[in-house]
Amino acid sequence: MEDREIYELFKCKSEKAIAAVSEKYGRYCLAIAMHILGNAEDAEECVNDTWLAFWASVPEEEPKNLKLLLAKITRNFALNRYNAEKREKRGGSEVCLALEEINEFVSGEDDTAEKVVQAELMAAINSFLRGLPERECGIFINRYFKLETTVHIAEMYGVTESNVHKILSRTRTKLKNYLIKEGYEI
Amino acid sequence: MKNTDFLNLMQEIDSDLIEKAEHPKKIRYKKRIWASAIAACLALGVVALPLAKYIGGTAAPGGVVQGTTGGEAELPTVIKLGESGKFTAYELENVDIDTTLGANHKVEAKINFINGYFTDESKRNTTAVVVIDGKRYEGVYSYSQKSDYFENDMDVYKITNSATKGDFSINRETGVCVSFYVNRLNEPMQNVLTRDGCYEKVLNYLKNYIEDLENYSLIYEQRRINGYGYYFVFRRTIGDMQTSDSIAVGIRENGEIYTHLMQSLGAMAYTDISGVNMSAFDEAVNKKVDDIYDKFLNVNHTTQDIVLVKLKDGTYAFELNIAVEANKRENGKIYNDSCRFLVEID
Repeated sequence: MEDREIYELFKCKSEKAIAAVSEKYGRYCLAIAMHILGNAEDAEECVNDTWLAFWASVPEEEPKNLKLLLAKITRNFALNRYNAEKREKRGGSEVCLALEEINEFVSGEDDTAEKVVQAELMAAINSFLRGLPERECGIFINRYFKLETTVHIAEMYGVTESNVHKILSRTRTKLKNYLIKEGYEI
Repeated sequence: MKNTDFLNLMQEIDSDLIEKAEHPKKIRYKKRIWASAIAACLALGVVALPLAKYIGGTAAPGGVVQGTTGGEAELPTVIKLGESGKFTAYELENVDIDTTLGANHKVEAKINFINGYFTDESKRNTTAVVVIDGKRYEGVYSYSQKSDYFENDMDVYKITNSATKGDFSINRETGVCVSFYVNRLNEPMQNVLTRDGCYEKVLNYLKNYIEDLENYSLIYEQRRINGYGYYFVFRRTIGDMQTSDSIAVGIRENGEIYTHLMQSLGAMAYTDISGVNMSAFDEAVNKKVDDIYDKFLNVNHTTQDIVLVKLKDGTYAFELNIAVEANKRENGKIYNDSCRFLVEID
């Protein structure tokens, strides 16, 4: 089914909407949630939450890319759930590893007061990513947006896992230097 | 910023970037299925000479094999390279590539080379015996190694003779002992040979393996520490071109050969590169370097070494190491980088 048709089903609150979106993007969103939570049951719940959230607030205009919108919603639910679980000392997944990697270049300080600059910061990160060679950019996004395992990323790009780690490490260093140069303290 | 904040921030990455990341371009490994038949034919021709010697036959000058096969083998055909004038350059994986420069490195080919990038296989419980320089060595199978260079798949055996440590490797196709290393522990050594004496002994030793030794050049020699001996490296050259046919031999000053390593033994014996259009070849390399460093100005590159190699599928290629100097802006800092190419000859 085309994305437009799925969107229309959601828009007119059709009962078929959930089944349709689930059939087309269920596995994709489930994979994203699984990488974050490492638990099939929790991941399935996140995906269901995604459908319900989309059902409850269908955008006025048809999304340009339904798949990515759903991916972002799923990722958000999964990260929230992960954080809640972490507080309860549960969990353990690809997120732990990704967070450890990220620790290398963030200060670790809670600077919520500066959240106003986050939109600018994000624009800088987007600009940085656009300047990267396609492969480096793709590997970085797959790791820190989709939280894919490095093994899977290596398969996707036809490189070795150690190569993926090297590229990620170089990209993190480059990003840190770039952001410092742009006047951000992260 | 906390690490979790960063992950949340990543939520806002531009959609088109995520979309691109969903469909990565996999590194291209050129398929060479078509060439396997040619490789098989070439293998028969090229392998015939060394193999015949190791199964008891003798090889007469000119390539006619006499002895155990019961008949005369045909002369190997001379392979003329580069008549089409087409070259395709692939950037090879290289750990030294500095991607932080921002150069557009897109590694397109990975190849297992004889020195270092072998794929090991699981162990089998077999033994083998070789006779090196008149001495008999027994070995137990240890592991296997594969390489993309022609004729270099080998089984490695650990030497089991008492008071001797070392190993030897047998080429699976030819049965030739292509690598050998032995270390006699605590054995007193009487040094009797000078450098020239060692060299002469090595040349005589190599005549057992190489029919046309005159086509090999000594490209490197080193005196081992504490008078241990000498290490000589020879390589077949065609005109000025170095090839992957190489032999390294180590000899003690008491005259004992303690190591040898032979690579693509004789694979280039019947290769003719007189038809290679070097200007078309240079053009392919220049174009590739320009692609990689298209964001830079004043790109200068120097080919540091170039070796003609024969790959397992029977195709030929040049392997190059290239040093690059470039500016990101006029009169800016000069960046140094390097890349490795495999330039296939169509």
